[in-house]
Amino acid sequence: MCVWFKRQFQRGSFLGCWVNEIVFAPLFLAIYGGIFSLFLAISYFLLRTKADPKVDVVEKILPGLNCGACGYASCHAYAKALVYEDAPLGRCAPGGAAAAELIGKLLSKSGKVDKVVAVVKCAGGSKKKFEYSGISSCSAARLVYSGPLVCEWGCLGFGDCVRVCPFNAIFIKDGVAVVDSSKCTGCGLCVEVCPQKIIELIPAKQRFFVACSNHGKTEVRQYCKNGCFACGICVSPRFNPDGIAEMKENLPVILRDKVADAAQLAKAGEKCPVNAWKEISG
Amino acid sequence: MNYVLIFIGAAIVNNFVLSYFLGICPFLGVSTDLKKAMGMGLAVIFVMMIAAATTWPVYHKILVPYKVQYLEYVAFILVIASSVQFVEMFLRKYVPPLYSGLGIYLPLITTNCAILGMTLFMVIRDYSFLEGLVFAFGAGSGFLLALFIMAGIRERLNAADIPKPFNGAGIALIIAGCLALVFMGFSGMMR
Repeated sequence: MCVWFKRQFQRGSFLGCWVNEIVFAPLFLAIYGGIFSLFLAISYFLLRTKADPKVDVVEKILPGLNCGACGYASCHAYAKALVYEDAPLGRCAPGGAAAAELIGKLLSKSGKVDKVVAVVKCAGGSKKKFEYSGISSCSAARLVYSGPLVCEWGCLGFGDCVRVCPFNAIFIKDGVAVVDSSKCTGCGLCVEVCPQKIIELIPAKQRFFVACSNHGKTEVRQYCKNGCFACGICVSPRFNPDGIAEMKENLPVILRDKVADAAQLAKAGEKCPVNAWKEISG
Repeated sequence: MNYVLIFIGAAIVNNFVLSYFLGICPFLGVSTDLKKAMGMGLAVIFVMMIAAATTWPVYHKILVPYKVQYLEYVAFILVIASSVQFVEMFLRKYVPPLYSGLGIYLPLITTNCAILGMTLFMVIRDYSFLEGLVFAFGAGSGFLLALFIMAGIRERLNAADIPKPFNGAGIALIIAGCLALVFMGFSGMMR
């Protein structure tokens, strides 16, 4: 057939009609393009993947902002993970509890949506090694001798987390970042950005957290008035009868599975000599 | 030896981004972090190989016999776009992990100037089919290399104190210029 076309063209005619280059070029492209479009159309029908309608519906409930706060590349990816991979509900910060509840009903996922909030595990108060006057950013300040604070686990207070927070939920108070839990959606962007890695997401109903990340022992007292020096009173049987916390690397660690009530945590923290056990605000 | 020369020539000496200044938009757009740069670079290699493998037969078996070589631009764009589209559909159905890895980058670069430029160079230099494939692989690797260097530098720039007027696109273009200068140093190595 190709040969026949070629011969037709060389004779200067096509199907008996006179054809010159100006006519041939569009004719050629029309046929050429037609072949490809036909090929694509056929392969589209052959290679069609059946999209799960469930995923589509879930995606429609999600806000479609593709912000990535859930930890997935897009709303579509999160919807897929929800349907197929048993991804946790309520990761969608912009959609909030309303979207999570709706999706939970749809996928008949049990388990309430636990709101999580970020907490800064430092209450400030560490002495300084030196005065830092460089770029006003935690990640930059940390590059200089692990930061200007004597405590290597302390909040540097230059507000990298404040800048990254899309909900204005973090502010700097007395040189330490503080999360306003009523505004916090638990998206976790601040957890990523903090160079000291002292921001953590906790279930909001837990209410209490340990506001110190220092793994040192008694020497902490020499340079920080708010630092946990691992006295262990909070995990002693008297204040911690249900075993909701234990000491790990010189810090009390709250065992989330065992916490039934925030009051247990309040009790554990009530005799802390440095008031390292803090309640979330809002 | 010829293949090695073609590969090195396309990847380093005549780097598509830094010597020919082709494909600058993805080069500046996706070079903000290393992970994205990796995905994009691999997708470019992939699409370049497909483009070379499809445009060579189109040129030599269709355009030349009909003496319509002047239609190469349109014909190449068409064949590249549709083959990439086809491969995308194919991957989505049969190799989902690869699709989710490359998928978002594939449509971005289907008819990027670097891809089209590569196919046109291949035709102008009269490469054989295999040479064309090697050339495409080299050009893609060169793109990945340039993108990777750029992304590495830009990741470090995040912590640097850049004067306000240079911030963002300004400093990126200056760095791209410096990199191009560096790559000019290779240009004496071969013709």
